[in-house]
Amino acid sequence: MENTTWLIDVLKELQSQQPKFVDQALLADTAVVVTALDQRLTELNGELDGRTWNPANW
Amino acid sequence: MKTLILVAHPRIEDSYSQQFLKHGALAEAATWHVLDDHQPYDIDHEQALLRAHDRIIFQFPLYWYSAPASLKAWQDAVLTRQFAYPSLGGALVGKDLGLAISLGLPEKNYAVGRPEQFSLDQLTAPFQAVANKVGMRFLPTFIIDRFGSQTAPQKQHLLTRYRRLISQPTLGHLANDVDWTVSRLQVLQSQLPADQAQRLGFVIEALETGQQDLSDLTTTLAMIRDAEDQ
Repeated sequence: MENTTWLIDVLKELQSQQPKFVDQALLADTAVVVTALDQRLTELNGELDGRTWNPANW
Repeated sequence: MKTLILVAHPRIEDSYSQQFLKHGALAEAATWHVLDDHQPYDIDHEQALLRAHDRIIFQFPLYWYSAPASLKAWQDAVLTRQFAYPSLGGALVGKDLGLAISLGLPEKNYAVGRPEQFSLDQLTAPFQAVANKVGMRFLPTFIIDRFGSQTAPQKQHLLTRYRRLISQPTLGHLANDVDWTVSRLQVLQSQLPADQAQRLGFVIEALETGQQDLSDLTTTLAMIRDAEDQ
C-alpha cells in the first residue's frame, strides 16, 4: 500500500484521542495489521514480477 | 458467534490479568463464567451453557503444568458421556475449544532444551485429546506471558488478540485478521465525532482496498503457478 506511513500516523493520532483503553488497543493493533498487509502485498507483487519475467517462458 | 469463557482461578479477585481480560470479553459480548463461583456444579445449567455457545474457552493460570482443580472437577462432572460423546449426545460436535493460559514464567522457557523442558502444546495434550474425542475444533493456544511484566503497548496488543480469540471465526490468517479489524473499526467509527470518523474511514477504505488487492494477487499467482505446473 502506497500510503502505509500516513495510515500509521492517522492511527496513532486517533489512538491518542480515545478515552477507552479497549479502543486505543484496537487502533494500535490496526497499525500492526496495516503493516502486515503492506508487507504481504509487497511480497506477492514481487513474486508476480518474478514469475511474469521468467525467461524460460519467453 | 457466541463465545463462552470458562475461567478457572482460585483467587480471581486478586488477578489483574483476569480483570484486564474481562474488558475484552465484555467488548465482544462473550459470556464470562467463573467456575470457582459455581461449585458444586449444576450439571444441567453448565451443559445448557455449552449448548448455547459456539466457541468455548478454558481460561486459567498454569498450575503445575495444568489447570487449577476447579476446571478438572468441571470437566469430570459436566462432560458426561451421554452429553459429549459424538456417538451419543454429541452436544459439542463442530464447536471450537480454545485455551487461554496465563504464565508466571517466560513463555520461551516452555520448550525442549529450555528450563521447563516441555512445550505448552505438549503440556496441553489432555485438552487437545478431549476436543478430539468430542468432535471439537482445537484452536491455537492463547498465551498471557507474565502479564505483570508487560508494557502498555504489549497489553494493547494482548487485549486485541484476546478479542480476536473470542470472536474471529478463523484465527491465524491475515485475510481474516483484516476482515475482523474492519468490522470492529466500523463499530468504533459509528461512535466517534465526525472529524475522527472521517479519518478512520480512510483507514477502513485502505484496508478494504488492500484486502481486495490481496485476493486478486493471490488468485492471479495461483493461475500462474497452475500454468507453470502444466
